[in-house]
Amino acid sequence: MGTRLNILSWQLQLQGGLDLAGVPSLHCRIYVLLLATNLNVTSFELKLMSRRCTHKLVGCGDTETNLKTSSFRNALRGWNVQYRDRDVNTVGAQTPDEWPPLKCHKSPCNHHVVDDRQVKHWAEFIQRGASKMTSFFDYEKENNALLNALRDEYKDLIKLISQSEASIFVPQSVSLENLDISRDLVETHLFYTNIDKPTQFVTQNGVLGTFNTKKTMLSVISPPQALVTSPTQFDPLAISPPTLFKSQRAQFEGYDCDRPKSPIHVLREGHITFEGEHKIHVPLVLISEPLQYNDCAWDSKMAAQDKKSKEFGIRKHHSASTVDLSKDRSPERSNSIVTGTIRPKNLLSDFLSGLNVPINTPFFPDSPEDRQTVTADPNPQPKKPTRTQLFPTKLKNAPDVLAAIRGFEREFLNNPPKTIEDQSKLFRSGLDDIENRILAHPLWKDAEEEEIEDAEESIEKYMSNKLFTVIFENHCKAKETANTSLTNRIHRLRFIQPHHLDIKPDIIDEESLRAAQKELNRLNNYKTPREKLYCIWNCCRAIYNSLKGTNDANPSGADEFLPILIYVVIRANPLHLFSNIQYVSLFRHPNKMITEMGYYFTHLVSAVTFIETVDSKRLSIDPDEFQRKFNGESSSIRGRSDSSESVVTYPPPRSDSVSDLVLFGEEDNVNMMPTQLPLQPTTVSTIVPASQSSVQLTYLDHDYEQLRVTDVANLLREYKMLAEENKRLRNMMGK
Amino acid sequence: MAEKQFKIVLLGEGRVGKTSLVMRYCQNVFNDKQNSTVQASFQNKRLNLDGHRINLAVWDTAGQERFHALGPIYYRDANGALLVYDITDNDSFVRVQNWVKELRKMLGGDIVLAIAGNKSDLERNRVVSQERAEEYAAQVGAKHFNTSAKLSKGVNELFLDLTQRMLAAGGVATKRQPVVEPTLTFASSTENNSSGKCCG
Repeated sequence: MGTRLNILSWQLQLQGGLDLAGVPSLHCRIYVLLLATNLNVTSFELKLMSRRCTHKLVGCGDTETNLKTSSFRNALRGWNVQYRDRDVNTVGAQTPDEWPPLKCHKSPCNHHVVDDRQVKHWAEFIQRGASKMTSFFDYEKENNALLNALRDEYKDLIKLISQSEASIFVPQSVSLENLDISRDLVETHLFYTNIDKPTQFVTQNGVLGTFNTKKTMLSVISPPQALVTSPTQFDPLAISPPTLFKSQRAQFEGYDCDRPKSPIHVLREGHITFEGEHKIHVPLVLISEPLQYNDCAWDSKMAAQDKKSKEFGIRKHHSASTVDLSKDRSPERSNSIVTGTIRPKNLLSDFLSGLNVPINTPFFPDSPEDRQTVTADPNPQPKKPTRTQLFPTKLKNAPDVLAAIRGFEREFLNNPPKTIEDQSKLFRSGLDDIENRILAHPLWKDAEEEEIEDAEESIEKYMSNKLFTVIFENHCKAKETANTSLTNRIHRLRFIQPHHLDIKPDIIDEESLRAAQKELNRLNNYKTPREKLYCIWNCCRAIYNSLKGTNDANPSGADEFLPILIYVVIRANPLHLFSNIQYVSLFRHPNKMITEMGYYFTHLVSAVTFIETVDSKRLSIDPDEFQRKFNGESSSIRGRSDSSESVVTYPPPRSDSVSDLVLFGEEDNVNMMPTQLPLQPTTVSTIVPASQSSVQLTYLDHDYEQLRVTDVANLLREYKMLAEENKRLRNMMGK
Repeated sequence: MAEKQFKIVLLGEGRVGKTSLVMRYCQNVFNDKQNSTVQASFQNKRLNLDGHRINLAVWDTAGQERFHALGPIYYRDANGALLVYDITDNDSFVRVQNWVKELRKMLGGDIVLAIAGNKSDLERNRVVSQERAEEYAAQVGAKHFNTSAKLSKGVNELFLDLTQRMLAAGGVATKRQPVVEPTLTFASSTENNSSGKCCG
């Protein structure tokens, strides 16, 4: 279990940006891993649920079709996983296709449920593959020619090491090819560091050398010094290389260790264990190439090798040519070996294919804008079948436009503005510039309005996908307080029922509410502003589709709609709602915000603004009841909190409220703003879970088979809230 | 010919019939005493007026008092506002006055206002006199109409007049004009290497 946990967390680090420090359980890591898999590798979604310590893997294809086991394999294929099959005991079956077949059985709810053992199996595969991938260091330990020579031929040197404080330099295998592992070479690679000045080292045969201060490089200062004159006659007590530190001090001090001449790179540090009569544990430094000095036996061969390398255009330093080893090194080298790479395929890397294959297309219905055009226009233009391909095709022949797109992307990524407002300005002006290039371009001279719009959409989509991490994820981090306080506030308002908002009970059914909630919870899954808008629109449509007209002359309009939306937002409490709203409002083309999509987005902003400012006066609720429920009904720690100074204040700070995004920014209009809620200061008691559980655990009574892939985000959110509450509670108990 | 797009925000207390009014205009239906799934929150209407192609986007808002403070979120960027009251309900007329005050304060003269006294088919129950309403409208630079969504009276006139006045105030042109000289030239230095990669 322990190793599995390590492996999983390690993989998550590789996915980048996911901090799992706060996720303690294995189960959560697994499912976060799978979530990450979904986001970064493919649109395939997977979820691993844990219930009474058994793992169930329930997966769906992107249109909620059944789990296809091949999808899982495809997801892993991107990682280039290799594994060694223990049973057959051969290295082989390198691709997931060759894995043992997976047995599935059908569950009542139409998912394929893969049984526990299969999941374990997969985990093992990943683990083995991972160890294979990471363990080039292990590989070197086992197979390096120098180490082998030590083990087999120069056992006396091992004995020497065991009696002294020596460490070993191990030149990576590639650099040792064609070299005879002579005794001299081995001795040159046994070294001692100066206890007083850890950058300095001398080797067993008296070569002086130094590391740079960061210990990422080393270089040789001088050839073997006189002390070791007869390397074949070893008396470790008589000949002690460390004495050179004193006698050759001048040489060391005359050398600038941070400006090394012909440096050798340090690739890894670790330990190696030599089995034998006595197990010995020796520090080991993996380096890019062997140490050399004038007239050393391997000097000429190295030179020949260099020459050969140059002929093939390979750079001299093996560290540079064998990229796998050096470039993946984490900046902070650690003695642990858990720093390999599994690189997910970047599905968005190819711009053109990115345009051709819209991400998550199956999730989206026809655009409402399209729909309207068709219904409102009496003579709708028949759509050309190639419409979506038109722009990429033309783009191929417009290198200047393409270059502008690329150039802007680079410019933005290299030097992103600090605030999201400035990012938005740069983003829009960059897109406008590209659009102008298109409009001025001969290829688009006779283009229809629709075609230009398609092109704009494509560019916006491409760009927002590319810049998503820089913009959105950073924003989520920067505005974490705003996000959390909105989430918390919504969470505390979850007692609100339809009748508090005067929603007539017969006006809408539970099923539609759930559908709307589900749509809204997807908000955080998408990257482009347009996709996020669709998500909101889908939510609203789910509400509208089920709204029953009332029984008099009033058809259902915004009067009926808004309260329901508010109710749905409270129930859904989507992840990073604050950031999502700001992102859409700042990065969606302003022209598009006047359409139906923009209208529903405005409703969402409006709903959130209401939530941010709501008090008992705006609800059909008794003020005392409101306060009591809002503050949580637990009174267990209330007495304690009254005297406590640790007051957490909600609502969110004014400068970060959603209403500011869309309202008028001038000071004299402040009185027109929704008044900030004169809430009682939130005390400790309010953030302590109520006696039962103040965290809404929607899925507590669910069986895994009832869960859908789309529930993952919610599950994670609930888990986080639970963890947060737990943390706070513990902190408070600590005080 | 460029299409001009106008945003009209619909303000009025719940139950004054603002939704019906828009439904009548945009879809020419009136939903009387029957269940319907037709929704009327957001409506588009295309029309030709004085040689202009015009697209009206009508934004319905929630009229309940508890949502009053959310008004600005909806009426920012609006070209016109249609304020609806019920001639049989004095409170609804007071609400209209509040909105007008707000709109003028927030948007000044930039927004074109029309006030509709709806349910004119219920003339015998009228409590807001026509003189009073018209006088008020004139005061605030709005135009007043008596409408009946039920009988389809005054509705077209109302929207036509509102559109004409928005047109006079200047609308949003949606057709883009190419700018020959791009203002940003950040990409010029990198054109060569990037173009090859993408097309390949």
